[in-house]
Amino acid sequence: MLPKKSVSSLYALFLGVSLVLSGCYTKQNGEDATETETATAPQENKPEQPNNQPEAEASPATANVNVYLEVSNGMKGFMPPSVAGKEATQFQSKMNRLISEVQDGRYVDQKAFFLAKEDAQGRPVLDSVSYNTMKSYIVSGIKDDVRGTPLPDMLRAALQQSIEHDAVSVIISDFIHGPSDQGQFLSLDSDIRSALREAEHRGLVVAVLGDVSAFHGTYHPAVKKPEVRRTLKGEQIPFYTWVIGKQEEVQVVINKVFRDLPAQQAFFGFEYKSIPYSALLKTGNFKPVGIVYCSSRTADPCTSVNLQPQPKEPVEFTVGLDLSSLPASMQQPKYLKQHLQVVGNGCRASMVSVTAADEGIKATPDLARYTHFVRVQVPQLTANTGSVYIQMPHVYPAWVKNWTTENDNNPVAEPGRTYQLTKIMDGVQALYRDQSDNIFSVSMQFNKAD
Amino acid sequence: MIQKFFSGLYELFLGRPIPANFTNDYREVVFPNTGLQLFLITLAIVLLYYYVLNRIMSTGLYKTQHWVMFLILNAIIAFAIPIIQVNSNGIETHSYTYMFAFVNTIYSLILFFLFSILFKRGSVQAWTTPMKWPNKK
Repeated sequence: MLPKKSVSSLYALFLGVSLVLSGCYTKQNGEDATETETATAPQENKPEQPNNQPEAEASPATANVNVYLEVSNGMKGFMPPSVAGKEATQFQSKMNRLISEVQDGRYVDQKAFFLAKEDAQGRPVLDSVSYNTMKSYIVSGIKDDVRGTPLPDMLRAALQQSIEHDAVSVIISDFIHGPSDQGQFLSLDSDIRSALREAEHRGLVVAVLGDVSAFHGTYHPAVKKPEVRRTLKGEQIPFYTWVIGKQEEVQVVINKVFRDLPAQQAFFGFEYKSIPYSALLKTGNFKPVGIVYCSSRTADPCTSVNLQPQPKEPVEFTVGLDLSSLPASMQQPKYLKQHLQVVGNGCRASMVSVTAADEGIKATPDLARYTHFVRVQVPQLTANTGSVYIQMPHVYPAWVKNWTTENDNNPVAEPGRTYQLTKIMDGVQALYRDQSDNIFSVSMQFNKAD
Repeated sequence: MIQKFFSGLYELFLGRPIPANFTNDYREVVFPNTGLQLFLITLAIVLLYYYVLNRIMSTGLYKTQHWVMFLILNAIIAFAIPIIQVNSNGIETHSYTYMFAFVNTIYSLILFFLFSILFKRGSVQAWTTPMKWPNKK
């Protein structure tokens, strides 16, 4: 009886000891268990992961560039022959820097320079010249007598050539359209559109940079009444740089080759499909408010949240975005504040604020990969699941309205305007009208918290 | 399953985790870990008391006041576990954390008592500690 009892007590002791020992490992076990369970959660997100890869890694570091400089008589005033003691016009100094960067900069792979003219029949001619020839045109003036270039034809020819060279077109012109047939003014937008049709067809994008420069010489307005030409002495006349090419390469040219961009920028066809983003719910800098937490404990980035707004406590949280691949003007907090939209599907959502990363945030490892932070407020859910979209719609550039005119005959009275610029821009915009509505759109999925 | 069970057990009195952004950390890590540790440590201490100290070693710690000592020891451990768990998982400390520790302490008292009832019959010296019921002899 006794031995049997002691054996059973030994068993009990053994059981006890083993349980205590296993108790020591509880935490480990607990974590293992939870980890295996949560490990499935990121897998659900896997199809999204490639989407979330930073675009910058894939984008090329260099681009082929073809520079087209219009050298009609109308351009002569931008490039007056240099005289000792006279300052270069802004056009001259800017273009000098630009072509020098194209020629010698590290971001340009293959380069070619062309002078855009027209032949006796009015057809556009693109003269391939050396860097030095183009430079001498810019600094010493245009010696040729070229009546003009029909704008849509010039664009078409330059584009065609760049497509053959697999290069980014940089087209510099005053964009004053001077057809002999006045009727062509009426169809300017559709002519521009059809000239650039190939670009849209091949998925190329168009960036237009507007700038002004002093103009010394004969000015040829598009509207020939009352004056057919005027002599200007340093009035500010607009000129434009069009950059057409693959989005990533245009990006390289705009950001790396053109150093200082003018404030007037317009972008057509740009779309960013993989902006990196994440809901920031556990960082000290951006504390969420209300009941909101990442659907998966370990997901990084967190693109799905659980939330439940209370009547008195709306949910508020911050989404980090890496917008570094966007054109610099679109990264301005002011621009973002104006144009960024927060749209809810299955909930009401609005944007509280948008801020750019400051020094403190750049020094925080978890946050350093995001350049901008959008505070989102969700006061009410209308469904148990849905999405909150943060998107930037294509916006018609506001400056175009201030730079266009219906009569450019007297640039002294109305400086800094281009004849029917809106029509030209309308034509480009019409080209991309049927594409996506947004430059980028990221979606934060949500489930109602249980 | 275990996560749901322990989350339900603690949220029954505590309500949803605060701050809410750490809800998953509480539900997936802290609650189950704390619950499992509570269960196993309480079991170990009860077995230590009844089978090691009062059967194999016959230390004479069979009085109710000794039992209460172990009950309190267990309660202190049960109060410490949630705080250690919360801190080691990088969760912001909040008054919720201490409420959680308090609830865990209450659970530890109940569990210690239940285990005592369950295991005391196998003890030699302490089979009537803390009281005779439900054993009959």
